[in-house]
Amino acid sequence: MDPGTTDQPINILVVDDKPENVLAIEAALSGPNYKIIGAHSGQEALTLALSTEFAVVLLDVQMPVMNGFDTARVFREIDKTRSIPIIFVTANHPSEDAALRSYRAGGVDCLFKPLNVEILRTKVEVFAELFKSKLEIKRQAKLLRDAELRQRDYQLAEFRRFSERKYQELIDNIPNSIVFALDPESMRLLYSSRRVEEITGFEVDAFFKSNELWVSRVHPDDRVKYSEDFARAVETGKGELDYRFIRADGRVIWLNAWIRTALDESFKKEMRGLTIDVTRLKEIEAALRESVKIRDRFLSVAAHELKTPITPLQLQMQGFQRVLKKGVIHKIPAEKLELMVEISNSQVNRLGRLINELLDLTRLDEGRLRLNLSHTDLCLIIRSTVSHFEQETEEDGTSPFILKLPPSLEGNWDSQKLEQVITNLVSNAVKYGMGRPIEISAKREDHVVKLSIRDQGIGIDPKDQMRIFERFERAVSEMHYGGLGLGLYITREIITLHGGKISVASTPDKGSTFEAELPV
Amino acid sequence: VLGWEREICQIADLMDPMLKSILLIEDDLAIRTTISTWLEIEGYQVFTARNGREALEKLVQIGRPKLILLDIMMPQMNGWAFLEEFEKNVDLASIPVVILSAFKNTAFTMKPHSVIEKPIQYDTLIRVVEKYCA
Repeated sequence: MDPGTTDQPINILVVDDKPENVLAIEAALSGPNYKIIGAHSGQEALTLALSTEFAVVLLDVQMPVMNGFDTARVFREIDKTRSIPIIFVTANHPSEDAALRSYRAGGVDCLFKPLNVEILRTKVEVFAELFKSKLEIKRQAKLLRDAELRQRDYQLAEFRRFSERKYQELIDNIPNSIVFALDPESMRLLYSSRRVEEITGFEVDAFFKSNELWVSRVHPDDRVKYSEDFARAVETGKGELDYRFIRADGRVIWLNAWIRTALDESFKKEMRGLTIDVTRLKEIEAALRESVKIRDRFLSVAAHELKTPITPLQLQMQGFQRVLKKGVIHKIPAEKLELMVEISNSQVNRLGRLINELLDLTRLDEGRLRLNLSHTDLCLIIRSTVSHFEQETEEDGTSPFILKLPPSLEGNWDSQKLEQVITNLVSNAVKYGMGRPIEISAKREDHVVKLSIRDQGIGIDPKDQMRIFERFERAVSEMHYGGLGLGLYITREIITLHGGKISVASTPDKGSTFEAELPV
Repeated sequence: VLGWEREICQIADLMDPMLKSILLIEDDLAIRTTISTWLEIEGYQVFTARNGREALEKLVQIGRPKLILLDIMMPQMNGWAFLEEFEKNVDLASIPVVILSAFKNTAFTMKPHSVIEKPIQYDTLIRVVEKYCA
């Protein structure tokens, strides 16, 4: 029954075994408001009532087989018919007893034959109105329920849209990552998150339009492996790919992709995956590998440097042990013994200096190198350092030093660290000076002291002049010249800590000049 | 190992100056002085050179020593470069060369040479030198 059509005639069921009685009631109730449906027995009435909604049943009491009361009892027992109001129609004389029996049998009222048309109409009208109201309430309730359902559907849809948008946003915002889906047969792109544009420099549509674009941008050196890995992933259902990719702007990036096969809504196979731009990681990895290599090389150089002074020390010790054991030490000339002890002493100092350099490196790396400033005379430091070198180089036949110094140059510096600077620069000049004269000059200009150390040795190639001040760097192969490769680095750091600067001017085979400036 | 006194006596007895002569090629002053002094005490005649180039010049002056002790890491002409030149010279190439090196991977010459690893053990040095100068 359609609750929306309340203006339709209302069904009235008239049950009487005599067709003329049905007709009589039909005539009495005729009009557009009612549709009279007649039944000639209790069974027929029940059958009708089970399939059609009635506002009221006018039920004749005296019927063969199943009389009115029996019929009413059955009506009351069935859910569908229980609430249909029943008005009994009886040929009995109107009496309270008759009415009472009607009520007991489940009737709402009782009409007496011969029927008064007015009373019949009025009573039927009451139930018709009641029925109409009931229909209206039902209709309203349904409308309400429909509205609620619509509202809920709308909210659900809204929520779905919202969460989809949220997922979309999440996926699009995973940094350096592309979420994608591919048709494994045609290699057609089915889905791609927006980051693909940022990472590859191509519009996402370019990949939707061309199935070959992606592969064509894989670095030529990685393309074979890429295709193999991809084919294997399609075959086995999962895989990882690591390859270089050439961006739209030509820049090469490293991509790492995880893919696996999945079934879409229509159970069709598709490859889903996550591609991550790992360029930055690869760079860090390479830098780490490089620094480990540099560290290893440095350790090997450092070990060599430490072994060098140990060689003479060990030989001295074991030599003395041998002659002492044999009791022949007195046969060794005194000047030789003196020389041995002197060498041993200088080698111990050398070891100490190396260890200090290594400690300085650690302190510099950790930013812990501190200056201990005091009133210092640079000329004094230069003279004492040079005299120390002169002693050593005398026997070596190396060149004289030429000093161009004023009587004194004083400033507020760290004297120990400055001695280290002068030692480093002078020892470089000796080491690379090819035995030719080394000129050391210093002078004061305004508020700075300018120091210059010039040799006429092997010189430094212009391409190496920048890096010689860096950690572990040297302009020449360690197969020719020893040293930790730290001297100039530490020198520059000490001078910088003093607020000064250092530079080099050099011509290969002509020599190098190191110039430093120190604020007074 | 010869007795100490016998060795001293042998120095005096040496008629041929090249009989127990050694050329030591080493750039480090301390190592060079130490080895040459102790070898002299042990009764050898030691010539020294500070790098490969000096050594080649020295060889022209002194003739054929019994043994060459060669450092690898040296300025101007390092040990490898010296060996290359040295092995080209048929007159000299038969002189035994013992390499003194602090680096372990020194196996890079045209012919195999003995290696004494730095820091050098006194006994090892003497044993090797005796072997070649006997």
